[in-house]
Amino acid sequence: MGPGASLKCASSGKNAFATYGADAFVAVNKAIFAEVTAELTANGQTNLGDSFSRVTDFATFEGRLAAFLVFAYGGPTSITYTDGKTYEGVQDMRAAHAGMNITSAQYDYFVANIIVPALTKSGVPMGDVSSCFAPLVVDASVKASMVGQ
Amino acid sequence: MQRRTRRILWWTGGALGLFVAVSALVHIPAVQHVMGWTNPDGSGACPFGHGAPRVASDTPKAARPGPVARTRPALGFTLGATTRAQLASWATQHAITCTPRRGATLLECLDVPATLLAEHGAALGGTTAWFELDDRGVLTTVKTLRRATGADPVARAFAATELALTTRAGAPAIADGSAAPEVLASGAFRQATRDYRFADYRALLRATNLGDGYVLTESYTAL
Repeated sequence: MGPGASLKCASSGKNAFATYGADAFVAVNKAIFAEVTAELTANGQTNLGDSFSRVTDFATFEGRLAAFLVFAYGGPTSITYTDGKTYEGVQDMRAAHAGMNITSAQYDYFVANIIVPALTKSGVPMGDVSSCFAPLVVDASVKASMVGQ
Repeated sequence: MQRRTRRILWWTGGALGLFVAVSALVHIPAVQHVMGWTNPDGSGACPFGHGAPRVASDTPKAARPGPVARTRPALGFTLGATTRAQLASWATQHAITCTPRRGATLLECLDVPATLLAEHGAALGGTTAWFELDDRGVLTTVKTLRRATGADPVARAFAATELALTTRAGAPAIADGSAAPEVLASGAFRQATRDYRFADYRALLRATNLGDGYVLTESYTAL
């Protein structure tokens, strides 16, 4: 099970995937990339570190992130994304971020300016954002798997 | 060759030669400075508008229609004018550690004392600041992340910055969420946003409950 599978949404008492389903996760994932695009084009890529500047295949990256989010929040270990391809959700975050040297401040900035707006603009009520999405993102061990690698 | 033809060729050649000479002359740096033909960073500029090939950073970042900002506040720095050398001098003067990243088009400065970035009224300690520079080494974007353990100081800093930006630049285009401390504290990822969008400037202000603390993030960009 994914690390966020045990989190219960305030609205349903179930985890995020059971509450919202795959389509909602696809929508949130696309919202994340929309926020990233807006940040890169409007504000430069200052605070996204090298997470996105090194990506050469955004379509695959998008599919992999969606698969990770689905698995992390209680869904299956793999998904077939909107591009028709299958992506594995069980991913090593340390390996995925190795060499990027993401700082704690960059991570916090990314959460505040990309993740949070993507969730709220996707229509997830704040009660559920706080109860079944946020705890995983701000978990110290999850953050440590991406920061300073 | 007929005399008339030779005369035409002579004058044509002379005109071309004169054109080449003048073109060379206006691109001599000393001449450019004497005539006042200079770029914002002091380098010489071609009076005919030609110069170095445009680079990606010269492309306006999502330039928008609409009114221009009254001013373009950026925590005391000048977007489009402050240089890498000036930033380095500022960091040295205040013993701030700044790390160049991405080929020195980005300076990441850690633990900046609150008083040095309090131009807009936010005085939270332990600030990380990022300065993005274009290929000429001129400042285009300033961003900050300020952390606090409690909601009250972030709420006060948000309110002060909102007032400063609204007064100096103009009203925000988007005002979403409340930064009242009791609202921010009501759950993880509670957030207040003020988005100031002008034809020549964008400022984005957010107060966010990150679950393990509160952050105020700011972004100031010249468009």
